Amino acid sequence: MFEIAIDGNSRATLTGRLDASQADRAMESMSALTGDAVVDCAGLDYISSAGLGVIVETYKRLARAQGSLRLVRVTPRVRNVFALANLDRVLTIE
Amino acid sequence: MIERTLPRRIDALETLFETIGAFYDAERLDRDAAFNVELVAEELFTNVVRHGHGSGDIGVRLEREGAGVALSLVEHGTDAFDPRTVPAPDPDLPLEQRRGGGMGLHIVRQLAELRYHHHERTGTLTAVVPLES
Repeated sequence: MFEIAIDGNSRATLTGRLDASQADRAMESMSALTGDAVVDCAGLDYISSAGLGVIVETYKRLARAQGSLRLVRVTPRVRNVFALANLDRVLTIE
Repeated sequence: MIERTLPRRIDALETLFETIGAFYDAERLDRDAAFNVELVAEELFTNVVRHGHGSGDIGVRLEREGAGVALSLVEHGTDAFDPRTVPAPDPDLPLEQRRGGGMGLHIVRQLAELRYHHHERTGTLTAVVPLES
């Protein structure tokens, strides 16, 4: 199960498992984020490289438009996947 | 040991995860400790679906091996392709220059020991993932 909710303040809340079968849907939803966006990962139980790709592409899109992306409330397991991909040093993860 | 045959489709991931769950239950292992096995399994399975040269379904086998779980993917009708030969991405490359591809294998190689065997157009890729405590 994977759920994504976007509110009017450019904040995305991810819940469940973001695997390759959910990446296209996640990317489509994340396209609604603009400006300085926040992604709440407290309920994100699992992420694979396909999910990392969604985050990275969204980060790049926002950065090109002088915006930013901040990941908040990331669980240790999910944070470790970012670290394994050497993304923890280049993304803002809280 | 548990064996399944999965269709060569990304939406078969759900069945792949169910298979891992069934294996953990059968082996009386804690399902909450299956994160790394699931991650390795997804990365390797999606690699075969997207980049494999074989045809037909993909065989999946899970078994205990030493202090780890051995996950094997069996692909028929394929030329030899050893993913261990894929160069690792440059970890110091700026984000703007990074591609999505290659990230999955890079993750897998840090979590698992890989073996590859190819015989009579059947390729078997095995990843041994240490059991999480």
